[in-house]
This record gives sequence, structure tokens and C-alpha cells, in this order.
Amino acid sequence: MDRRRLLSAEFGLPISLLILTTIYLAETFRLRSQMSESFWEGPRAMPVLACVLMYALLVLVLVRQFRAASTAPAEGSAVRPILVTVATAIYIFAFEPLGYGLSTILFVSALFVIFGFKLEKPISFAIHAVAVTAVFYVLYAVLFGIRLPELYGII
Amino acid sequence: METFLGYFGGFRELLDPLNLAVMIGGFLIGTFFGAMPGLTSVLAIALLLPITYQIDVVPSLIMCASIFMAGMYSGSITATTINIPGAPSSMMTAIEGHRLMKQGKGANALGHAALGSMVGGTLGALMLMAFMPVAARLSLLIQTPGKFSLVLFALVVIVIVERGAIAKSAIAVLLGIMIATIGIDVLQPIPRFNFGTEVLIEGIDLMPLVIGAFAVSEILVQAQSWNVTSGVDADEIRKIKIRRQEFIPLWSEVREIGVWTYLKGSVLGYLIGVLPGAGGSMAAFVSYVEARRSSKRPQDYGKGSREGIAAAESANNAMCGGAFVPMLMFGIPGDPTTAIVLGVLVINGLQPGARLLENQADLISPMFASLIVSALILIPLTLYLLGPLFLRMVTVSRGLLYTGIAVVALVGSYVATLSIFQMFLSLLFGILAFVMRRQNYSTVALLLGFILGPDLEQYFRRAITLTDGGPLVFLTSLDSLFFLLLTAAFVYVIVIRKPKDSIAA
Repeated sequence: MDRRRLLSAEFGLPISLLILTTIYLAETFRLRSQMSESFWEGPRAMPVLACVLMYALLVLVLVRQFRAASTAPAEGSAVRPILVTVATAIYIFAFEPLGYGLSTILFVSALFVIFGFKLEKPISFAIHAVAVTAVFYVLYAVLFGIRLPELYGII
Repeated sequence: METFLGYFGGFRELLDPLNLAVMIGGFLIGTFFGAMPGLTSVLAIALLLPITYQIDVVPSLIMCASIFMAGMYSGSITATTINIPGAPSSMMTAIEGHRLMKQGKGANALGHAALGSMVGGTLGALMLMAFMPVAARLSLLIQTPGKFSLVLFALVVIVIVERGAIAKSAIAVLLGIMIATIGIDVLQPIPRFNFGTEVLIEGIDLMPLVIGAFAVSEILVQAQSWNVTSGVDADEIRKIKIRRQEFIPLWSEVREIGVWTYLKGSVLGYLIGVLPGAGGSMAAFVSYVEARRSSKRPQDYGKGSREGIAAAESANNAMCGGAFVPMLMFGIPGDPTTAIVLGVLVINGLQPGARLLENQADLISPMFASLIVSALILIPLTLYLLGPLFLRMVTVSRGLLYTGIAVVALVGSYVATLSIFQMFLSLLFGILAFVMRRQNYSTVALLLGFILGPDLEQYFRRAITLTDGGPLVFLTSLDSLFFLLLTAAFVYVIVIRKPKDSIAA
């Protein structure tokens, strides 16, 4: 089998779930019930049952995928979703330290660049970035009175 | 009688300025999200979920109902005009509506779609109100072992309706169940799967899962298939000329379609709505196929059949009413929208079940009224007043749109609990859901597994504890046995009788 296919999400996802299920199952054995009760009545029953079924189904899916000759190629490029994910992670980290206004305007600008929005018109780009930030500030902070994080007491 | 008087009180509640505003606002948002290819009413409700933490339960439910109804109908706008269904439930409408559009009868097709949606939506909501007291009485007959088997039945149906990916759908349900076990145990005050951290002791909230699975993952999916020049062709939209008076269907055409088509579509849609996991697409498909089978003019199908539009649209909107029955009476949501509505109920301390109708009818009857008013008044009114405008709205830049959705999703997940951790969870679930969607694992099954998992576990353990026996109690209890046999019947009809290739993972 093609090595690249083995490393793709087609196999990566079920294998990751297999690993997560094993970690979950290991944690299940650390559970201690507060009452004397049978296995089926205790807090371990459903997690153990879920793990057993999960293992069986993941093995079934993996075997079927191994047997399949090939898979349909993924549509589009993975670069943009990765860029969106990185921008989002940075935004979440910066949200409280930088405040809503600055962090959101930077996040919106980053997404505009990733999605190629108004790149050839810098003034329109800036106006739209400010407008998007302002619209949601009005929605959350003004209409619903929610205290959003601030930088030096400014939005 | 008291129940029916309570329903009338629901209409009175809609006259409150806030309630009226959220109903109309919700309807317009639902219409936009439903009409816009790539966006759905589920996404609209997911994005508005954090707002429901800030407002009362009545306006929250009113808003959800109007978004649900609008989203189910408005997919027909782009389905008819540009042959791109705004929502999957409008797929059948696209087949017939766009043919009429090409014949220069686009406005007429939109009018028939709106009429079908109006009739189906109204009848579905009326059937919901009429059968709720019956369902409430039935729900009281089900004991704990039966409740377990009922939840199991719902989960099995959710899995098997994902034909072609049953194993993957079952994995998604189990993953949802496993995520739901994080936090305090359902019956004992002991933390589970918190891995020594404090943040996980309280468990995983519904909101980051919903926002991650339906908003963040959608942005990532769109980003992957991004093409700046793709999307709706603005020039094509500008060329479309629609006159408002053409929206009103001719009486002769309605008579030709026949009352029976509307009624049959509505009843089928309602019944399919009651089934977990089925949804508007299946309702529209089944009703369309049945209408074609029993039609006096089957040769018109595929060439612009108004009857086909009426059957599909009446069914998908009637589905809205049916979907609320299992959610309100048994806490079993059949689709993502009712799952989120269930979340709204739980956030506000309301428990689904017979007592909800008995003691808190004043809180849920405005939602029923919102379904009826949305179907009966807002669908035809918005089509007439805003139909041409909605067509222009779908030309809005996708870069701007998805950026806005990203901000609403992330800031929304922060504002509900003022927690950065919730934002991280939204991103995490978004990435997970994105990979799952790309590999054909159902995110709807993940969500419903997460929601129904605690009930499944609770009823399972309670049943065994109460009867002091082993798992055999589920076979010796009559109500439980009934639901287990029903599950077996569904598995036989949907999976075993189907060709083998349909159950491939």
C-alpha cells in the first residue's frame, strides 16, 4: 500500500481514535465507585462498553480501508484550513491580553488575507475589517451588555 | 382543554415586542442562512446559541423555531433560481423548480414552493400541538428500562440512516457518548475522565461542541475548497427578473396539484420528522417519490412539475413539527436543530417530558405559535416583500461572510461563559469535525451521541439498580422489549434488506 495513503487522514483519523480510546479505557480502570455495586450498575460500565464497541468498529473500518484499492483524492488544498486554524489559535491566545478590539481586527484582517478578500483595495480592506469588528462589538457589548476583554480600558 | 388554552397563550406571547422582534429577526436570519449555498439553518442556530445564554427561554425558543422553519423553506430560493439548493432539503425542489425557471416561470415556482412550505409548516405545527398531549400520556407509560431502549432505538436509527457509512456513523455516536462521560458521573458524585485537571471536572458543555462541529468545521471545509471566483455568479443573479405578482400561484394550478398532495406531503414529512436522524432531506425525498408514484401526470416530473415542488416543500416544512415531538416528550432530538433547542431548554433548567407540557406549557407554547406564524404568515410575506432582495443577498462576498461567521462563532463561545477554555474547545471540536466530515464520519451523529449518551447511561444503570438484576431486565420489561423489537425491525428494513454495498463503511 502507498505510504502516503497510510499517513493520510483516511487512516490517521481511525488510528488516532484507536489511541484515544486506549487512553480513555486506561482511565476507566482508575474509576472507583463510591458504593458496593455490580459492574453493570457502576460508573465503568458504559465507558467500557463504548470502548469495546469502538475498538470493534475501528478495526472494521481499518480493515475495509486496507482492502479498498484506492480512495477519492481530497478536494482542494490543506494549506488554507491550516492557516485558518493557526490564525484562530493565535486569536484565542491574544483575545484576553490584547482585548476584543485589537485582537479581532487582527484576526479579521488575517482571515481576509487567507480568503483573498479585498486584497487589491487596501482602504476597502481596512474599512471592512473595522466594520466587522465594530458590528460584533455592538452586538455583544452594547446590545447584550457583555463585558468583552479590553486593552487599557479601550475596546 | 387547558393545554389548548395554553397554546392560545403562546400566540399572545408573540405580541410582546421582544418576542415579535426575535421571531422576525430569527426568520430573516434563517431565510438568509437557508438560501445561501453552503450555509444552513443549523449553522444559524449554532451561532446564536451563545445569545440564548443572555436572553430568556421564551424568546430563545421562539427564535429557534422561526429559524428552523425559515431555513427549511428558503433553500428553495436558490434551488429554483440558480439550481443550487441553499439547503439539502431543497434538492428535490431544485429538480422541478429550476426547470420552471428556465421556462421563464421562476417566480411561479417560488410561489408554489412557498405555498407548499406554508401548508406543510402549518399542518406540521398543528399536528405537533394536537398530538403532544397524546405523546405526553404515552411517555408516562414508559418505565426506566423502556427509556433506555427508546434512547438506544434513537441512536441506532441515527446510525443506520447514514446509509453508506454505518460503521463510521456508529463510531461518531460512540465518540459523542465518550465525550459526554467527561465530568461528574451521571449517578454518583465522582469525577470521570478529567485526567487530573480541574477544567474537565464540570464536563464538556454543549455549546463548544455545537459551535465547533457546525460553525468552525464549516469555515475549515470552505477554506479547503476555497476558490475566490467560485460561489454564486453575481452576473447570473442580476439577469434574473422576478415580478412580485408572479409569486402568487394560480388557483387552477393549486387545484391541479390537489389538496391531497399537500396533505400527504405534510403527514409524511411530520412522521419522518418524528424519526431520529431522518431530517428534511429524507422527508422531501420520500414525499416527492411518493407524489410521483401516485401522480396522474408522472411524465411532468423532471420537467418542471409544480406537484413535485408542492410535495417536497410541504414535507420538509412539516418535518419541523414532527422533529419536536421526541425532543419535547422524551428528550430525544432527531436532528441538530432540535438538539440545540434541547440544549436551550436544559440551559434554562427545563427537562423534557410530560411535565413540561403539564407545568410549563406557558414556556413552550410560544415556540409552537412561532412555528405556525412563521409558516402561515412570514413565509408568504417575506417571499412577496423580500423575495427579489434575498436573491441579491446571496451574492454577498464569501470571504466577508465566513470571516463574520468565524468572529461570531469564537466570540460567541467566549461570551456564554466568559471562558477562553470554551473558545479552545470550539476550535478543537471544529478541527475534529472538519477531519470527520472530510472522511465521511457524521458530525450530526457525534452531536446526538453526545446529547443522548448521558440518558442512555443513566437509564441503563438505573434500570439494573431498580430491578436488582442484570441486563436481562431489558428483555423482560414489556416497554423495553417493544423498543428493542422496533430497533430490530428498523435494522432489518433499512440495513439487512438493502444490498450489501449500502452498508460499507
